[in-house]
Amino acid sequence: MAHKRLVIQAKRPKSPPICGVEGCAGCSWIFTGLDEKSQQELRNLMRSVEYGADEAIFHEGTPAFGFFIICSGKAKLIKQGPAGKRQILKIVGPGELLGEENLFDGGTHTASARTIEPTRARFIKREDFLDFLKRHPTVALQLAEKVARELQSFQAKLIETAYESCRARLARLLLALATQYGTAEGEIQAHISRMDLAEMAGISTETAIRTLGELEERGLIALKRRKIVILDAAALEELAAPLPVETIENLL
Amino acid sequence: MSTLITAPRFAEYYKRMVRAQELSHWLSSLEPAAREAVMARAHMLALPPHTKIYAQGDPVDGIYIVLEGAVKELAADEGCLRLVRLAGPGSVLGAGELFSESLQTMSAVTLRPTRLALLRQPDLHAIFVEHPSILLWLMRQLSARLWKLRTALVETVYLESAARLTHKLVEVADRFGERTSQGVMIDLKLSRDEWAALVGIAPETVSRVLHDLERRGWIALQGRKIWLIDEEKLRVT
Repeated sequence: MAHKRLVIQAKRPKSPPICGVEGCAGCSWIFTGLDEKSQQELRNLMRSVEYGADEAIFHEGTPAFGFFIICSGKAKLIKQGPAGKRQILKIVGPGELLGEENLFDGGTHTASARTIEPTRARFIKREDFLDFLKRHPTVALQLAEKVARELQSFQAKLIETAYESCRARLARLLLALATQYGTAEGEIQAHISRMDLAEMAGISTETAIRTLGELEERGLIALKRRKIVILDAAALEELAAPLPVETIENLL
Repeated sequence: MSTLITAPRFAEYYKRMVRAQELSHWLSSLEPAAREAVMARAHMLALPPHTKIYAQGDPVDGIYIVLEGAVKELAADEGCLRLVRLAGPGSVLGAGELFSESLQTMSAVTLRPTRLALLRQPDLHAIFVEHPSILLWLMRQLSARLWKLRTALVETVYLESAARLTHKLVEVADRFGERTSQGVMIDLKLSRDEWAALVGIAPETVSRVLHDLERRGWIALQGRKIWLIDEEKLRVT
């Protein structure tokens, strides 16, 4: 079979900082294009919240009163599976949204969120934001685009999970992580445990550890405690690419 | 001056009224003004079974709201079927592709006589401008689909093939099944490969599991028709 190139789209440029806090690197691209007055209006809806490492932000099945914009730190979105198993749907970092998909569907969290690192965030109440969206269709359209892209990513991930080998899934996950959180040298700058990696790729922890070891032995990655460095991205792409799946918005 | 309404014209008028009522039912959560704008601009389509609505890779012409009938969406890669989705009354087709500005990611074919409301892209944009609340309604459709996909993903990772196929049989029967004296009948004429892509398992597994369920007397098979004989057992699995 001809080798197909794996496409991992770069993330969209962030919008200018909305919160006005010094040192903020910018907010989600869905807020791009807001004028100063609208930014101020949005700022007035925000409330600051802070969490330690490995702390629950919300639980699956509980009422969703609003959504979060991550300012610093990282959090994971987890879905409960059968028999106490769980799957990590994605990891969100600074400028990204958490819980935004439950703004529209009756207001119940359809997944749980937990911090990975100490995290600061802004919270916006559901009713306030829906009202804001009605007055700012550009943001509403951009949010719709974001949800639509995420939908396509999950569609791709579903196909991948049904048909691909564990090695291909892990290789793809590592490449996506490197795109989102990697340095120029290929070091993934997120403290993600082996168990988390396994739950993101949808494989068992033992398989994840074994496969990582195998990839290290082949010189594709280097492992330093919790840090992972991508050494040979091209070889990883080859492993990950039997399906022409584009990993787009927030596949992680 | 009164206009005489002839019988055929009345029938046509009556049909239009019924269709409008149906669409309005699916749009019931919209604000009245937005609902009216949608109904004024929607094109009603009545399609016979096995009609292609759009093909994978086609440009997106708008969104389709399914009013009646059943539609299968198929995604193939190099001739290999990868994903199948079934859409019934209330489903919205093409919204994800429209917002992400991609081409159609799946092909859509009717399974039964199907009626659809088509909202073309320029009309939708005109409605967005006047009634931004329509966007929130569409977002709800997108979110619901996202939720279904995520649930399917977790099931794919953790549930065995047999359990996933059994779940899917019950789900499809609930949405599209017809009650018969033998039990609920699924008559969507889906092939073994399509069932496989619907569940995300190998076609051989579909045959194995279906025959196993038949041997236990939980289902009956005849050609592409499936009857759920022992629903209770199937639901508990």
